[in-house]
Amino acid sequence: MTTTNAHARRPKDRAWAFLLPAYAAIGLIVGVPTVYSLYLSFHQWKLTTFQKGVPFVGLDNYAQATGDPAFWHSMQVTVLFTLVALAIEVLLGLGLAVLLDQEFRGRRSIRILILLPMFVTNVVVGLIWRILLSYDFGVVNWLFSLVGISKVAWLGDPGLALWSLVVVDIWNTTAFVALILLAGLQAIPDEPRQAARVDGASAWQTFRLVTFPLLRPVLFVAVVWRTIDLFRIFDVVFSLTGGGPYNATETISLFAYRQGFASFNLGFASAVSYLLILALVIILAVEARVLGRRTT
Amino acid sequence: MARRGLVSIAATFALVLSACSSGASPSPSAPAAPSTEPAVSAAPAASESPAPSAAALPTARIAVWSGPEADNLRKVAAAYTQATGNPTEIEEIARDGYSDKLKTTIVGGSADFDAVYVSADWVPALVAANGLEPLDQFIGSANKASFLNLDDLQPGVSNLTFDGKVYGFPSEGDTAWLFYRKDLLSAAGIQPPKTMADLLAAAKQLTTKDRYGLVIGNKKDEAWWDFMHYFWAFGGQLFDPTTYQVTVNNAAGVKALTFYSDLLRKEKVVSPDVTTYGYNEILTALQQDKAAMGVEWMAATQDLQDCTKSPKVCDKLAYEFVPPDVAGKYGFGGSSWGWVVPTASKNKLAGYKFIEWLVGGPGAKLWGLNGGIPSNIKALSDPEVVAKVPQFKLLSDAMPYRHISPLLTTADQLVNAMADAATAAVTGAKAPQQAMDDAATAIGAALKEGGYAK
Repeated sequence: MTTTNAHARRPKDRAWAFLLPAYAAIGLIVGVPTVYSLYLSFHQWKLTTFQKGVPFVGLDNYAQATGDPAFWHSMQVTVLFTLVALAIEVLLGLGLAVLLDQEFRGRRSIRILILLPMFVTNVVVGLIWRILLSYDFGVVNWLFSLVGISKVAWLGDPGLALWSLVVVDIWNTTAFVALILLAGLQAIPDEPRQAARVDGASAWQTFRLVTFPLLRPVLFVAVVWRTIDLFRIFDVVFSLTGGGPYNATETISLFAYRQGFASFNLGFASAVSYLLILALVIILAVEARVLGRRTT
Repeated sequence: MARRGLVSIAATFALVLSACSSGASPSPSAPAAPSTEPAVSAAPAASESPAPSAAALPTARIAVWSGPEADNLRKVAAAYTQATGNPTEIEEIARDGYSDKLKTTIVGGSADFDAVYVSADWVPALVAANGLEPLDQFIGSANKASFLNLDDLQPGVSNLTFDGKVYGFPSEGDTAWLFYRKDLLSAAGIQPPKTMADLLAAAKQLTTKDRYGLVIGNKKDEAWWDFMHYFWAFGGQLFDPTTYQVTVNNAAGVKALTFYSDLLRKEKVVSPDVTTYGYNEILTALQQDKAAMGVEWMAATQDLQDCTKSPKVCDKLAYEFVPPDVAGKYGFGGSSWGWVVPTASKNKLAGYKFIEWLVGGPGAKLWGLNGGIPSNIKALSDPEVVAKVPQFKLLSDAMPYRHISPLLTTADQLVNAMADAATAAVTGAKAPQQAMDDAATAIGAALKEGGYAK
């Protein structure tokens, strides 16, 4: 009996031995900076003074951030951007997934085509769209002019810049949502849908009452994944608008970046980053409550 | 899944902050003594030994931002290697984010570079962070080449001197011109503007369906570097240099910002997209015949007059001083760039010798001939350079009116405050008075934090 137990434990022990280097590397790469940044968030680290010391300031950085209108503005921009882009991406992604789940000629080619934007690096996405949306030199305004529509300052108008950013993100990542949901749709067995049809359900009723509830777990994954990506968006904004005009598109990540790497106020930037995580946790908790509970 | 997602966020967040942590631990070691470097006698200066020789110094790794300066540097570096045998390696970094990347590298104690191109106003903060090597140790030793004369490099050297130590040698003393289209002004019967009122009147007259009368730059990160010309032209002042009393929101400052923001908001003589414009976009607007006039850095002159780069306008553009508010009372912005050696460099002498040759030796003339704006007065007045770059004559006339950003350890905060004011007013987020009042508050805090004001 003892021998059997020893034999049973051995593969487990071996697995741990193999996993240990990976865990150690992750701990070093992820754990150390995370803990150090938490430490920084309670200290004053400024470029011009850190040589003289990094004094403990308690919750001052957090208080300073939450008392700063620019912080709340960037939080507002981020939440608005996330909610609008997420809603549209999920709706469009679901539509695309349902479409691509049907049998029709050229389906394979269309699948590849809609995935193309995903292959482009985010910084390049920003640069491409900066050119496309340019007021004076952009293709979009040129196309508009062909049909008699006046030019629009897509990126220059503070009232439009955020929505331009939403459009760019939708172009870039809707295919990703569609891909996840398509995988979910194709994993749903045909029998429940066939049974619904035999019982006289219309196509819409079949989708709403049978397909969609079965798809919900996958939808939850897509929503959570996109929420995380949208909430911490940085590269596209940095290359497309740089947070401007003025601060119309300054997301919370960009705000933290400016504090950290432009102003070198690393204690404050670390506090902002932890506040970003806190806000994200709250949003994800709400999503889990709305979508996650029903899936279980 | 939500938990897995949170782990993913934390991982990404930590990766971002890992850059911070490396930045938080710059090398505390004292600057290496030059005596630990290879002896300079092994690397004779070009003027002393013009024939190519075997490499005496290790490769000097040089950081520069993309654009005309990088193109120029490649040519000059090749000539340096040809003349001295000392190899160089150039890393070109994109203009967007150059400052952030470079400062992070220097403060983080990275030994990536031996010579770095920096704006003078970055120097005090980098010195405070122990990121730059004083050059005095080289200047005052046998390492100094015979062709280097610091008097030839004034006032640029003063702009790179902090707390009595020389941290860099200047190579680019820029200012801005008002570029205007001779053909369009002539056709409209307009004289080149002599005052800001003339400029506005001309811009109104020259604005058509396809072309704006003027172009300005109000991109978030670059706004101050454009607005400054208007600010100084109207007689603005950031603060009293003796008492450090902030004066940015005085009548002249507010008048400057009102004029500047009205160009878009009220007069509509500039493109609605100027809130996304910086140096490159202003240049493009002039090159592509989208603006009849524009205040642009002098560094753009050669591109604008090069018919391969600006075929539509190369022979139609002229340039003059930026017009003042009151005729004859000139004032406009200037920038002072130069070369420094990071403290963490492993080959400081290699970096220094390249800089010395570039700004004080034969490199200065080459720099000018290839489109740079040498701060070396000998190179600036060299007949060959003057013949090829006639705007240097106007530059020497402009020198007394140039305003360089003050050298403060908290200069970044000052620049950000002024950029915020300019963008807030142009986008209509704040009235000019409010924008300047907020800038005054931020600048006051920066002066206090830097220990300049009580």
